[in-house]
Amino acid sequence: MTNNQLVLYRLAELMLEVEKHYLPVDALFEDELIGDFAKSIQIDSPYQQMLLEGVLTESVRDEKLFVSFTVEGYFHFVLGNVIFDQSKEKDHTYFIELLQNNHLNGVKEGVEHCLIRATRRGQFEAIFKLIDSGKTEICIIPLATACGIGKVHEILKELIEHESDEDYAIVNEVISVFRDNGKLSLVQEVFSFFVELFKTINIDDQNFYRQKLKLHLLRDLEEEAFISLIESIITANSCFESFYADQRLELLFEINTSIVDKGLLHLAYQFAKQFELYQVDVNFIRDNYYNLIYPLLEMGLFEVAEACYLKCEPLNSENAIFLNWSGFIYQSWYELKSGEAHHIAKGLELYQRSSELLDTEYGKYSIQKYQNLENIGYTCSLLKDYEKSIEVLNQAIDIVAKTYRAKIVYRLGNLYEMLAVTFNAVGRYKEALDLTFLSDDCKLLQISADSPEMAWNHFDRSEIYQNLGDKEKSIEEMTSAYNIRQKSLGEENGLTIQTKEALNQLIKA
Amino acid sequence: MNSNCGLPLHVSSPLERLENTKSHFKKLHLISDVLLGCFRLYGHALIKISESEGAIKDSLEQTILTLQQKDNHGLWSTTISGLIQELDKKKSILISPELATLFGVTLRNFKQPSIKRATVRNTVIDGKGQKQLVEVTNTPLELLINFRNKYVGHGTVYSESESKQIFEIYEPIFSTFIDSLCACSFQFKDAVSGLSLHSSSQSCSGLVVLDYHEQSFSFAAPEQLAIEAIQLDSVNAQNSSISLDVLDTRIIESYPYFLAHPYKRALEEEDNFKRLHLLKEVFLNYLKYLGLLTASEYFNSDLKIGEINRAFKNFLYRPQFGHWNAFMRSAIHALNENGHQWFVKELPGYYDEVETQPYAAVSESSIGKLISFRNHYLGHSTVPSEEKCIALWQENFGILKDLLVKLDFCKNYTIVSSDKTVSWRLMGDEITQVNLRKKLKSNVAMLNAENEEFSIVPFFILPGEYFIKEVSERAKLMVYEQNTGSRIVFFSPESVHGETNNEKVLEQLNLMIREKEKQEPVSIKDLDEVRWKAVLKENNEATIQSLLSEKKVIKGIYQERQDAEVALRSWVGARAGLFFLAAEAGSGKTNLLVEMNRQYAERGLDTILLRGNRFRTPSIWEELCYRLNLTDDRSLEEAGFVKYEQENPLMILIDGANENSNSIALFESIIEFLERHKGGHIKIVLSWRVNTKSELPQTDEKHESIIYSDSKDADREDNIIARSCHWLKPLNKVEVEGAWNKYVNDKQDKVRRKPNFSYEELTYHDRSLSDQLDNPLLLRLFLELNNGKGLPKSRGGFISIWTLYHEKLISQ
Repeated sequence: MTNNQLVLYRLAELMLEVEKHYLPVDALFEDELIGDFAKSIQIDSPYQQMLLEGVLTESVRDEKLFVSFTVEGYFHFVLGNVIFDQSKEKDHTYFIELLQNNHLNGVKEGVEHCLIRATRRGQFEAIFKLIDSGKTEICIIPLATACGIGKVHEILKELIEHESDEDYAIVNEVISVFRDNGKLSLVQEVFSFFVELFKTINIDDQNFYRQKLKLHLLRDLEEEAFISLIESIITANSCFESFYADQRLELLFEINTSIVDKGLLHLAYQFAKQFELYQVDVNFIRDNYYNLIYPLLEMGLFEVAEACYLKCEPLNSENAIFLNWSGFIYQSWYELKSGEAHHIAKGLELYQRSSELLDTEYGKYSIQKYQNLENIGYTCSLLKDYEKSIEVLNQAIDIVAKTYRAKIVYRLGNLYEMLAVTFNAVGRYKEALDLTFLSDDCKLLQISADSPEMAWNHFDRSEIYQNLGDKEKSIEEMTSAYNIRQKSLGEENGLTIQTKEALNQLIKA
Repeated sequence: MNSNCGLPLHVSSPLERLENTKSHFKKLHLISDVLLGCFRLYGHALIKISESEGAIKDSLEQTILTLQQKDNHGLWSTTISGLIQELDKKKSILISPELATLFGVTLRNFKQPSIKRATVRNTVIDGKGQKQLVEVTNTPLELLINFRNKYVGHGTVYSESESKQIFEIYEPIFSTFIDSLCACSFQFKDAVSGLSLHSSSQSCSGLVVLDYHEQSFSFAAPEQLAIEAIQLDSVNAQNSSISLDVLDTRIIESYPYFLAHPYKRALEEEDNFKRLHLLKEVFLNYLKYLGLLTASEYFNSDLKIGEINRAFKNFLYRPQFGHWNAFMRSAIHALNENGHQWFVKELPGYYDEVETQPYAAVSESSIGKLISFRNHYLGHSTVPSEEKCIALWQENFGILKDLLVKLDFCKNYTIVSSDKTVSWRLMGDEITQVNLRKKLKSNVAMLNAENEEFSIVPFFILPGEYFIKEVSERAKLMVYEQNTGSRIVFFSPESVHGETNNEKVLEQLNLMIREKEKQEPVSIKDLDEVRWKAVLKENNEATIQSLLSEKKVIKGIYQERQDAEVALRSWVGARAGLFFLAAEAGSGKTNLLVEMNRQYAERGLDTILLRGNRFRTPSIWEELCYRLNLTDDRSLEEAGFVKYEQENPLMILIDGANENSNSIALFESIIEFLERHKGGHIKIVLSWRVNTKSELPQTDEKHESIIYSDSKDADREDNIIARSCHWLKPLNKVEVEGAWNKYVNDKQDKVRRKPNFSYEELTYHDRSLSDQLDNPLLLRLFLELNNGKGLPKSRGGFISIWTLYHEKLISQ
């Protein structure tokens, strides 16, 4: 231990002992460990250094001199180290005792830091026992830290060894922490553990948090089995009836999300309609907004999507994410159906308001911002402001590429494709064509080749080939787009009809 | 001591000086130098070996960086032990078992010589004046580090006999350490000359090669390892005392004893190194003379000046060298401003001549130069060569002597002391007995030419009254050094320490301070506008000063909080009297309140800035009366001199009310106070740290009209405070980047906060880390920690800024 460390550590130790976050300096003079340091007023003594650094503060109250840590957060950290050492050879009841009986301001945060330190040394037992004792709140960050630095599967295995309801509750909290911090690979690891653990999907678990985790198995089901399961749920019109209404809805939205993720947009619409998800409380709609409206837009049900927007708008006018996807409704409406200027104007207005809010809330370099830039870039392209479109789409690509530190990631698929469309519009065909292939590489990381999302790539590539004068390849690509849309969206769908007409024209020409 | 066992130059050189010097005081310092030489050479070698073995843990990287810039004994020792443990874990054959033994590290994978331990027995006198025997058993190396921290690091100039006594206690331990070091088989040579550093070389370029286990490791650390050709201390620079000139004689014969005595000691001292320390001692006593005289001037006067009370608390409870000057600067100015009649009339003019004027003209003064000399050469540095000691003496003694010569007036103020039977004249190097014409009012005092008396107790006391024989027999006068409120520490011109918690002297000092702070409360009716505004200004300055000294607020650094500022500005004309500012930890509530205090004042509004944790009672009115020195039998409305109105209110800003020891009672008293002063002419901004709304205090619905509503969730909360408060969030992302750029581009900022990466790069590199920067405090710390550095390395999991901060602090 260095001298500075000793001074700080000992002060926190004494504070824990006397249950006060300030100590009389005079009492320190007699301290066996730091008495000499405390007494010294030489500028280079460790105690004086800590005062000069602003780590410690001396203040006079009623003529007596007291010392305290200047910053609460740092005091909690040092206190955590003290508690860590004092907890050696003791079980979790030591922490419970501290939390219940020690009146020091900051003892809870100290225990949390201690548990984080323990996880860094591979010591998880106290955390698991505290979770089972119901002290979940102080274990969330320590458990997230444990997963962040250790082997997620081993930690989770140990966690649920003595299974309790709290175990599944805290896992869901930890997932939220990972999501908030952009640690998406860890989220995947957690899910993969439970996929392995549960092995088969069932929808009749009585533990809400466990059921929520089990629904993640849906994503790994073969498409046929998946469709069959969802259709059976729709037909039965009964699901999760034993849970509270809010919990039931949360689970239904989980299923809805997995359907959208698989690109089965028609099925998603049927599911949402069957369980009246468009009519639920605005907070639920807002929290699942994209997954609710995206199938509606692909189905051409813009009025229903708008109704969702109008329902939520009064309470969410400052919600950047909500505004961004609301803009998407009007942009799609203009592009796919109405062609009316007020729709695209409204879409752009919502995007721009969202953009301002995103800058403050999530930052200019966030994934949320990229989604917004993607939309703005595409809208500019629709409005034939190609220069702006290229600029904005490149900004979006920059965010994603830097975030993932890679050029081939799923999220870039759509962006490359949009940029390709814009390049095509300004005559930069070769660059446009290259981008469509890059887009393929990205999208195929997550979706199958016959997903409706891939239809866009074929459709756009067909147009580029046409401009390059390669009729054969153009027809080939348009045929692929038509086949996918016919199969996934149906013959009567607007997009399918549009694709069929384009194909016929190509053939005729 | 076995100094011929082929130790490397970095150890053998100070060891040789140690063996050659007769001065035990210098021997003590040279033990410290031997240790440092050993740590630096073997430490750098181990770092190199560990690098090659990939045995440097992340947590040691910061420490190694610090060691390269600013090293010290304790940090080297901890680091070297850590490196040895890592090499052991890796089962590296490059580990030196002998070195492990020296540093007390038990190896798990290698055989090693047994670790020896020794015991030191010391006698200490505790705060109650009791003698205590302290026994410590540890490895020789650890005992020597403790020795260094206890006896060498703190600058006390021990007498030759005391030094000898200390040296004799530690000599056998030092010998054991040297013997253990001799067993280590590292062989070093100079990379430039190619000569072995163990025998043939007399100098080192700072570029070293270690030959060990048939491998070579090169390392360079010129600032720490370069050694010029050895010149034995006695060869070119003879030790001798200095002959006295007329001015020296005058100082020694006629100046106060505590200046004259160490001055003479310094001139008579034959050892050049110890003489430098005595020079420092004279300088410290000189500062104390000026500082304590100034304090005595104030405490003997009828004046009650808040600025001096604050300066005394800030600077003279635990004064470092620079604090004395800071106190004088503030106190002399305040005393002059308040028309003080000086007992030592020449004092303010003298200070102006030697400090204020030169500093204003060239930003430098003699006092400043001597403080830097002390900090640079007599703190944690090594013993300079004889030539350097002589050069330093010549340079700095001249400066000090000049200051003293100009202090000539001090001889006209005779310091005298008196116990029950005898009186003494404490002037000149020899204390002489005198017959005083009249009995002294206090037992240590100053007499002027007219024989008027001026008490200088309790800053100067007689040792016999308060200390046990061990102290009082060696010291003739004790001079104030520091005070904790429960004990006072004194130091004598003979270099004797003494501590006392004697009620008489302690209570006298505490009473003096209390009296100065206590003012006869005045009725608000008796105040006029000028006095009222002065009282408010005084209070606000005191609050801001305390925030600045605790670094809760940094001058010139404030990140605008647009939403909150707009809300706090637009509220001014409202009828409701309470603006409740709920703030998350670290969201910048204190800085916001200080800024709003400034903005309100700029707008011409009267303000009172208070800190919740400094309240004496949980009653707002009692606290206001106390802080503003008002009688509590009147209300604010009775002030005839100023009319507060809804549009032109009195603004009371209370920071961190939750930190009050009885926060709920305080909150209730504020509600009650505002109920009594309804109408919006008195307004209170109350900041309260919470994590969730459930932690907010509650109050009855009937008070709704006095609580300003600034919440968008108004209808969703049951608690009236929760639905009315302004929720101060951490910095948003735009504000974070704005604050980042403000720090990075601030050219005035003395603390460097300029990392070699941008906020954008950090965000992409580690989003969870950049997300922590929405706390203004953490942002500032993060920038300081990463000044001049590249992106932080990933350690897996979440990096807490507190961890980085802690690593930096403990590695200093």
